[in-house]
Amino acid sequence: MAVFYLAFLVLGSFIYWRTSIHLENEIRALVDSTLKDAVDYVVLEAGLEELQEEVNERVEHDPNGAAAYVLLDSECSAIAGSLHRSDTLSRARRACENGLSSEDWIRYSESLIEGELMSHGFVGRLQEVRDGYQLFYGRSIAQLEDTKSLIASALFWGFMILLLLGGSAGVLMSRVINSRLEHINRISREIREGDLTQRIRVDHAGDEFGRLAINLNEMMDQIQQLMEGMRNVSNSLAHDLRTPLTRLRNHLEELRGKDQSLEARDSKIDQAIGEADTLLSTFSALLRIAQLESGGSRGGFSITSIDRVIADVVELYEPLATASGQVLSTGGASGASLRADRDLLFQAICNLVDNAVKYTPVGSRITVSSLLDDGRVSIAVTDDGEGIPVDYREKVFDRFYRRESHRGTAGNGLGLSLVAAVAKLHGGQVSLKDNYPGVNAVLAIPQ
Amino acid sequence: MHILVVEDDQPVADYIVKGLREAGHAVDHAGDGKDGLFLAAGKNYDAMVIDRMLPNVDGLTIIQTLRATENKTPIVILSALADVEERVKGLRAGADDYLVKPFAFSELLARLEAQVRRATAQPEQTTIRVGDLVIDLLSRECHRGDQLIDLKQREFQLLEFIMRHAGHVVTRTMILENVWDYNFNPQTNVIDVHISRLRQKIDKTFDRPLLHTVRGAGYVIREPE
Repeated sequence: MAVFYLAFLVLGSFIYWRTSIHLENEIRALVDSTLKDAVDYVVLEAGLEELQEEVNERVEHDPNGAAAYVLLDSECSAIAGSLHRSDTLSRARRACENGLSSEDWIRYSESLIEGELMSHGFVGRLQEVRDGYQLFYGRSIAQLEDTKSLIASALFWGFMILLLLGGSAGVLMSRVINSRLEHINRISREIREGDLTQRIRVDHAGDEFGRLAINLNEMMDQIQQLMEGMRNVSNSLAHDLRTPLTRLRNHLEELRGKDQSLEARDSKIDQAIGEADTLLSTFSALLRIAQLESGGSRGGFSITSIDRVIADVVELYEPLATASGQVLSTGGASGASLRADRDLLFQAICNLVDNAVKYTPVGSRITVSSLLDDGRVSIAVTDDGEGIPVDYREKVFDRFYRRESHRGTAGNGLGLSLVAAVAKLHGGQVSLKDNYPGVNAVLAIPQ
Repeated sequence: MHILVVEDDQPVADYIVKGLREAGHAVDHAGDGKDGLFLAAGKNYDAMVIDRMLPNVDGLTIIQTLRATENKTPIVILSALADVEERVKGLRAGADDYLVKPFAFSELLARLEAQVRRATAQPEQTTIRVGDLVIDLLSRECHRGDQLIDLKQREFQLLEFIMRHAGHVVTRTMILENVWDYNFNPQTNVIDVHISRLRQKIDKTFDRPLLHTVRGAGYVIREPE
């Protein structure tokens, strides 16, 4: 702000100064040209006497005008001109007596009576005309002075207005900023104190504050989602891990009994280890899912050929599927590539295939294919088995969800949760659709 | 083998140390990074197990320091951080393998021994033999006795991997990593079925089985006693 004011002052002063100089130079030019005319007149056309007459005529014509003349002889006596103008007269004579040359500009002031007594500035000089005679010509700079004071006044008032407007604008702006900041601060405080649902009000989505508010709100959305996700995980953990833990404990307790053969003991120990391993892998899977859902890092991404991954999955699962009585094969290949985490993608597709193998009856056909459509890569695991009833299609993604009829099978119910988490990490989604009959599980990711 | 375990979590450390001793190895233990680095730099170990998060000096720093001093001892890092970036960081720092917690001891042992084998590896051979089972790495042929066994490409790769670690247990995760080149813990017995198919081909019709299952750990191929 201060810089702005300073700039205004500097500019103003500069304008003032340059204008003054210019106007004065104009007047000097006028003086120069008049004196030149006089010299030419005397030298080329007429003589000193004619000059004397001319000067007197001019003064008679306009005695108190802008021009003042004094014709001086070789002894510096005034012989013609504005002899009534006392200041001009005395200055001219003095200049002549002091031997001032035509280079010396003289500034003086002359009192005039124009209704009232006023004082005007004059500027002029001497010029030798002929035979030691000199002509003094002075010109009023009243106009110049008027202009100067006009400019000064304009600058002054302009500055005042600027000060006023700038000041009030400044106050106004800081008030607005403060109130918006205060709003953001207040909401932040409320969030900090525990109310995660609070959001900042967005008045003008276009300006910087609006954008800041939108970004902060989106950040809060994500945080809220994370917190809820974590809450869900702890709930599921408590609920569904109790069973294997209880079983583990039971096996260990049974080990204390006497009258057991070494084989019986070893068998119980193996069972206990088995339960513990199940628990360990469940924890790992949970951790993985939680990490992925919290946005995870996309740092492990690389360009991956989808068909390659699908071929690997099918190749890995083919023996298991065959042993389980199903037919697993690859379907259409899209030739598409994605920026993806190869391992995660592989695991996600494996989980889908794993589900298909687990939950379809003997004789089912399972096909894994990929499709590229409008910038989206869709990986489909399709089977012609029994299908999932519509009401359960969303629930299957919940952690640990197992349909009652499948509660006995191996696995921990986390398979689809992982697929959903992987899909989300890649900016896509997974869905289960009816295949009439069977299930069409589709993992869709944009390129 | 003489092994160094640097782990600050006491119960975990006890578990690992005990397991390694029972497997017949001599084990030293350090409970923080500074002691760990001191021991590692001072003595000659055959292998080290280093936890990533340690008080005073962290695991990665220990490894970097050791590698900077030309110490080439095989190192397996233990870490709770599972994502690919962290793996890469760990491996770049100079570790040979990266194991995510929680893990089964058998996994740790198998990997540790695999790394030691790698470090003391013989110059590249073109055939590998276990008992009367031979595979030729150049011609990609498999023979048992004088019978040619027809193996598919992946089956051959699987057999090759297990035979390279003949006499030692390879875990399912190791198989998935090295034969299929994917990094995760298969929940179901998808690998088991591949092994069982392989067994059909190389063991079934022969009198002495070479490929064995080790409960709770993995598989091993070895000459029968």
